[in-house]
Order: sequence, then C-alpha cells, then structure tokens
Amino acid sequence: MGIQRTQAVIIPRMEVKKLVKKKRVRNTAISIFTLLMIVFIWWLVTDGLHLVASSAMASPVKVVQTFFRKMTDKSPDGATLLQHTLASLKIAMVGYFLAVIIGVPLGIFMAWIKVVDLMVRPIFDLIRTIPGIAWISLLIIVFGVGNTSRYIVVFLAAVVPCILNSFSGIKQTKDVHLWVGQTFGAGSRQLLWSVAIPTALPMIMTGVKVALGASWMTIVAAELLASSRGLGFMIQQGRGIYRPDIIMVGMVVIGIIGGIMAKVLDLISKAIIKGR
Amino acid sequence: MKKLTAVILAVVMSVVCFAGCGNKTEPDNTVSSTPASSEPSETQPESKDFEQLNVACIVFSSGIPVLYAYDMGWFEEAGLDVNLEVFANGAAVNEAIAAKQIDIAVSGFASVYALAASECTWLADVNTTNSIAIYARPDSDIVTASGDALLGSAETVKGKKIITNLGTSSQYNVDTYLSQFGLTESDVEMIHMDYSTGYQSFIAGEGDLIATSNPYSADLDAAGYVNVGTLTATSGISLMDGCFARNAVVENRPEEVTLFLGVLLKAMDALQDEEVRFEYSLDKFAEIGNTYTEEGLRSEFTTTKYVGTEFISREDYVLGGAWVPIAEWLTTEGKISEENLPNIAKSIDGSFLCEASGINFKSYGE
Repeated sequence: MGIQRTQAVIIPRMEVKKLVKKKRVRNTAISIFTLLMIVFIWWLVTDGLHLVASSAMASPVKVVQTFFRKMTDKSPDGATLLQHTLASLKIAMVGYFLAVIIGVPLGIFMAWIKVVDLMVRPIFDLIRTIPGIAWISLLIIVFGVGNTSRYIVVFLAAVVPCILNSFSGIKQTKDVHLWVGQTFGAGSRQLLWSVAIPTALPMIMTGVKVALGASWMTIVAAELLASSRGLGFMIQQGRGIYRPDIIMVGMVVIGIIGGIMAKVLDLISKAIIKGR
Repeated sequence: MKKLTAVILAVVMSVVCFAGCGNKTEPDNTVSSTPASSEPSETQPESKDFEQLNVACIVFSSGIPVLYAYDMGWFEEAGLDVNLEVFANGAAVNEAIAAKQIDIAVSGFASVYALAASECTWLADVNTTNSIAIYARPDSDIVTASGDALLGSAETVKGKKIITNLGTSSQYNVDTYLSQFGLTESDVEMIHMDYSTGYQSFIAGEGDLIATSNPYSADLDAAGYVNVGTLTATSGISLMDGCFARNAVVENRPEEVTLFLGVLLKAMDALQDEEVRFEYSLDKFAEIGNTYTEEGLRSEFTTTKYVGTEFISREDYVLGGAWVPIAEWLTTEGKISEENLPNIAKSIDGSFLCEASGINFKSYGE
C-alpha cells in the first residue's frame, strides 16, 4: 500500500518524430479513404447499380469527363471552366475584402465605443438575417446590372461574421488586463491597440475565415444578377438545360477552391496569431 | 431542473423533426384531388382504382387549363386521382420529372431537354407562344428603323445590351432576331436574368432591349414599349407549350394518360370563351403568384391561344412540329448533344390524344 510511483519514460527525439509522422500519415490515409468511399458509393448509386437516373444525378465518371471538357470548351454556357472560375473569384474576393476592411474595424469600434454600438446595432440586427438573394431586386434598381450589385451581395453575406467576431473578441478582453494597462498609465487608444486587439485577434481571424466561406457560398446567389460568366451562372445554366454533370462540376470546383482558400487563410491566421 | 429542461427540449425537437418529415397534407402549391363521395355518380365512368397521378404545371398560361380542369372537378369525374403541383419554371419541372416525383407535366421550352434525354413523351400541344418577343423603348433608334414584322437594322442593333433569360426560348428569339441582320451574340452584349428580374431591370432603365415572355410581354405592351420581333416572326417557327409524360407512365398507365388528355382537351375547349378564360385566369394567376393587370391579360389573349378540338382538327396540324428545328439550334449551341438530337422526333406521340379526342391528326415524323 502507499503511493505507486511510475517511472518516467524518456523517448528519444527521433522516435517522437517518427511517431508524429506515423500518426499524420494514418490520419491523412483515413481522410483519403473516406473521400474514396464517398466517390465509390456515388458511382455505385449512378453507374454501378443505376439506382438513380443519369438525368437526375451524373456519375463521377461523367463529372470528371465534363470537368476536363469544360477546361477548353465554351459550350453550352459561353465560357470555359477557368473563365467561369476567374469571374467568380473576382466577385467573391472584391466583396470579401470590402467586408473585411469595413466589417472588422466596425466590429471593433462597436465593442469599444458605446455610441457607435448604439448607432450601428439596430441597423445591423435588421440586415444580418436577410439572405443575399432577397437583396437582388433592390440592388438592381439602385446600382444597376453591373458588377457593383454582385459585389454588394457578397459583401452583405461576408460582413456579418466579420462584425460579430470582432465585436465578441473585443468584448472578451479580460478586465484585469485592461486594469493592468490603466495602472501603467495607458490611454484608451493604447489599451485598444496594445491589449484589446491582440487579445481579440484569434476571434477576429475566425470571423475572417467564416466570412471567406460565406462570400464564396454566396456566389451562386450573386450570379443570378445579370451574369454571363461565373460558377454560379454555370450551375444555373446547367440546371436550365437539364445537365446535372455541369451542375456537379460547378459544385465540385466551388468546394475545391473554397477548401484551398480556407487552408491558405488558416496558414496566414497561424502566422499572425502565433504565440498569442 | 437543468436535466428536466434538456429532456423537454429534446422531446419538443424530436416531435418537430418527425412532424416536418412526415407525410404532407396540403402544401401551399400542391393540390390533391380526393373524391367528395366514394359512391360513383351517374356521370362518372366505371370506377377504377388508379394510382395517384402526379401532375405538374408552371405559373404561366400553359398551366391554366390544368388548373381549370382540376378546380372544376373534371379529373375526379374521369376517375383520376390527380395530385397537382405548380412550379415556377420548366427547369424545376424537369428536375421533378428526373426525380420521378412527377408523372405528367404541362410546360414550355424547357421540355425540349426532357425530350432530348429520351425520358419523356410529348403528348399534346396546349397553347401558342406568340408572346415570346423582344421589346425596345419607344424612343430607341431601333424602333425608327424600317421593318414589317421586325424592327431594327444591323447598324441600330449592333452593340446593344439585350436582357434575356439564357437557355430559354427568349435566347432563341434573340439569336434568330440577330441573324435577320447578319449579326450574332458576339455583336451585342447579352445580359442574363430571369424573366421577373429582367423585367424590373428593363423598366428601371437598364438594357436597350429585352427578350421576354408573358406576363411581362403583356405588361410591356400595355406600358407602351415596342415589340420589335416575336419568336414566330424571327424564327418562322410556331413554338407551343404542351403536355408531356415520363415514358414509364406512358407505357404502364396508358389509360390514365388518355383520360388525362381528354380532360385537358375539355378544359382547353372551355377556355376558348374569352370571358370564362379572363375571369378564371385573373384570379388564378394572382393566387399562384403571377400578377397580371386586366389590360395585360387581355393583351395576352391576342398572342396566346389555347389549342382545343378545332385547332387539332385542322388539316395542316402537326403535333410537336417546332421541337426538331429548335433542338437543332440547341445542338449548334452545344446545349443538346448530337447523339441526343434524334430523341426529339422519337419522343412525339399523338396517339393518346387521337384516342381521347376521336380526331386523327399527324405527329411530327409521321
């Protein structure tokens, strides 16, 4: 009886690295296997067992064929896949960066200055739940059928998480930290820049990441507005001409690009908030 | 207390989930035909246990005969158990057909894609579509150019912004209009919008021309905008909206298909009376979310005629005559593949309507 003492096990550094690498390879293999299983089930349902008609859901083989054909073929919607993708990226990125540039500072000031919060919050609470597609008619009347209307649809979708997360991040600043700053003679501005914003940075970056997803997802709605190019336009056209393969190519490309952008933003986020 | 709250919440959420996933009773745009009495009346044919027939129509003129027949109880009288669903456009109907949720549909231009996929049979024409047209503003330089059925010239049309719904009969209207002046889509700026958004944009001052259909054509006519070219004038083709069914339904339920077409023809004949059509259509369009002005609706009657018994009795009547030339154009646009083009002609079958009406007319390809 008594306290059982365990002996500390010292694992050599090389062994630790091997273990970590092994775990990473295993995790990647599980992810790849899951994806392959989904594709296999998809193939089984369509080309394999013909449980679903090809006019209702295209098989993965057909989607891949259409993907490569659309790289060079402008028909049936007037542009190649690359042209559609670049057009969508332009709309999404302009709307997104506008949302970040306006939304993040606005959220910070709403949280830091009471008057700003009182002025902006009623309008913000009103518009935040309105879906982008509902704005279309109004935006056309005010801004016309050019790109401006589409940028604004994306902006409205992306600005909400930017404002919300920036606001929450600032509000979550611990009073103790602010008191310490005040004790050392820091003014309001200094407290904001040196204490509150660095504390809020992880939340702000989360909002920026969510906004990226929101802006990319809104592309389909934005491209209902007088588009002749774009992935959302391509999907709409595919729907109109009974081509589920084109619809699915559009969905897959939207998914892949969204994933790549999220990964890039993740790396940037880790670099910015490293050590905080 | 927390546990009790959590349990109550979980129960409420489960009940809501099951209620949401349960059988639908009467959704907004779905109507179901259930017999008022289980005993057949003297006017009813011999009662048979037909399965529910899922029928789709769209919120345009082509849907009115089906809706009229349903509201008059004629499907019920014919012994059919019809579940009627109203869709916003032909693309949505095609999706429902592909998912086998719809058995018979009355739709427009988008039907060609269902025929090309070799999954459906074109059974009957329902109405003419002379409302598909291109409009310009009264003060446009296009209007002052000479022309009889067509207004405009290569100089006045080139470089113009044309609002149109790409992939529909309106785009076909634009392409055939441009070809009259030796122009193509690359000589103008095509702005893609759905019909309602396009109409709002055009009257707000956007675009130089708009290619559209009813009810927007009727409203533009009534508001003084100038029709520069109908689809019939630009293409020489009389496109018809009509009725088609899934091949499986045509093969396995021919009696129901014939009965349905008989009722549809009866409704089209009844709606030849313009006052009957006006009274019914005005209220019904408002109900299904497609608002016409009285003036606009009257204007539509001049361009959109229901087919009816007299129409199919004409010696020169051919069922589905417009589809093949339209499909050939769609093939050049890459919207229908070359291998699917022959399916269009093979998908036209007037025999069911011949049996329902007692009139022998030709189908395309006969």
